[in-house]
Amino acid sequence: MKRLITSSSSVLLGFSAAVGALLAVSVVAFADTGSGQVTAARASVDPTTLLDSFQRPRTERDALSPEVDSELRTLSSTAPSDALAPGDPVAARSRRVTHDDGTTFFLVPTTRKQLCIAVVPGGAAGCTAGIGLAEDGVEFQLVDSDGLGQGDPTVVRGIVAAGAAGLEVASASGTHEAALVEGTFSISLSDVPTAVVVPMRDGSVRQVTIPAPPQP
Amino acid sequence: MSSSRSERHSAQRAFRRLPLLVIALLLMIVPPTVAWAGQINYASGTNGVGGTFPTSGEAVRSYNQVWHQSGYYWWVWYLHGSSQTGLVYDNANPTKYPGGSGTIAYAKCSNQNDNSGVTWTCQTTTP
Repeated sequence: MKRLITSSSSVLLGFSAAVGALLAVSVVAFADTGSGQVTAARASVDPTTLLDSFQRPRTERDALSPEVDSELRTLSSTAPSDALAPGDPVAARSRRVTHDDGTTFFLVPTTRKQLCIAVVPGGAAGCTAGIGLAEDGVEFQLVDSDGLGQGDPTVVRGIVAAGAAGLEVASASGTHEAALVEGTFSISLSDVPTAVVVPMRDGSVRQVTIPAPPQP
Repeated sequence: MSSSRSERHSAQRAFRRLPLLVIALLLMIVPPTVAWAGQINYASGTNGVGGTFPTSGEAVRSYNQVWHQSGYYWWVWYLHGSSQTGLVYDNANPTKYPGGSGTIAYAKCSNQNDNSGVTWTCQTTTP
């Protein structure tokens, strides 16, 4: 009798745990946006697990510059809400990647498993939870100081997931190959970029369209 | 002897006034600096994919940025008349153009695909 009760309790406990887990998954998978629109939540991934630069040992050359260190330390405290705060930078895990043209990427994990990226010279620091990196194999930014198609070139730069065999940016004038350095890239174009294409080592190709900018 | 004492008193009085002088100088320097760098929130909301949000007026700006859920793409730029400058398209948080507008301009932000349900906020500076 005692064994039967114990066995029933175990079954009940197991059933409750299963129902609880299913409910938890449902809550994570769908978030009510508050506007009647229900959107599927996108899973974030620790970006450092997907980047080549974090697969090598850290050296003294990876240390942050004082300017970048200072900028990153103020990011979390200036976020308008806790939900948008990327976490405190973990400077002891930073990586520094420098391209031939002098463009330097500082990649800094945070206490919230995000990755902050500061590009110098001239770039602003921003942080990612790795969603795009996991889904598309690439996360990028487009910067044009005088607007698209004007005198100054358009810069496309970002990070690609380990497993990428290269990176190309498509524009009206053709396809332009960017140099990958430890999972980072930066390329300047004289015309308007339309897509970022990532050929993977497994033969697959991932592509992210760059939409036309909004009307001025 | 008396002259020396008088000089010493004068020096002590001047020394006592030094903090007042420093405070007066700070009061002259700090307010214009703070005013120049004043940050404003010019738009905030949730979702609203495809929406474009401008400042209510034109001014010389120091930067333009939007805080949003990372992984969703946003645009920021300055509008001078009918031309754009300081254009950035990014999914990092914040998406920011760190440079100034140079001349007076509207600051604008536009939501490309952020349906995360997390409240976003567009910020710039005003004189």
